Amino acid sequence: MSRALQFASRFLHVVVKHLPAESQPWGRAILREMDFIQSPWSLLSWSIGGACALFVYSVRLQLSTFFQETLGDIKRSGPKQTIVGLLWGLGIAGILLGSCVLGYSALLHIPRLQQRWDRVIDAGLIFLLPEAAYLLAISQLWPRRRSAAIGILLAAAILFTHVVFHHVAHI
Amino acid sequence: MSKRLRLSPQTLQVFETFLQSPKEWRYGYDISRDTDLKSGTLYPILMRLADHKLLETAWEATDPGKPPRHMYRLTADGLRFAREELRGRIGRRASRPALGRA
Repeated sequence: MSRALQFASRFLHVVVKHLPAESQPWGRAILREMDFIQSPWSLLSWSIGGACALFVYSVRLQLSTFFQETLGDIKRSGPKQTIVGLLWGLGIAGILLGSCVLGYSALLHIPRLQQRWDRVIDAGLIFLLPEAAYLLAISQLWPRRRSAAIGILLAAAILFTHVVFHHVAHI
Repeated sequence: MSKRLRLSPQTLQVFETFLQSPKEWRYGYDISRDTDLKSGTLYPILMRLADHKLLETAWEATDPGKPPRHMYRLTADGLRFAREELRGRIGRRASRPALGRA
């Protein structure tokens, strides 16, 4: 039982420690209430429930900040420039994916590779490599050219959804 | 702002608890015991109410060397909103025809 207690306390401490600054007061509030709970199982339930509440609250705050910042950027730069940026991002993403598809087609001409590594090459070149490149590009472009980064993010989401649907349909 | 607040039965339960002694500050664990709500249900409600400025929060320094304790009570807007909502619910419930009665 004492292990459960220790786990409950430590778990919530770790969660609160890693919370963003805006959620910290709520984290400290939930943590402090644990000093007044007697039953070990109530403590465990308090700790897990509190951690879930804090997680959802933090995600909600982050998402709301993200959307507000993005909307602010769009308002500042004007809709025309935003659309140009988005198209620019989508264009870069398209060129990158196109290059990967060309590379994939070229590799398929090597019979040995085709027989042994077909699936690995398929997953690597058509999904993993472009997605990794997209993420890298998004992280680089985000502070300076947000609309272009959103365009690439959109392309990454479309590719991800496509791959998921493709696998579901072929299983 | 308060119009966009989703009013679940649990939120109404929390309102009822606050309305029992409107001026008194309440602790999270005490509200949880009074309402039978777990922390995972109670705190999102408190957070939402605070975001909508219907709930005010304060820190109370209790024992020396121990961190302060968070307290909650409804703001004037919160009290008005809670009373209106609870009155509205009771009114709607009373005007609903009782099925199965002669």
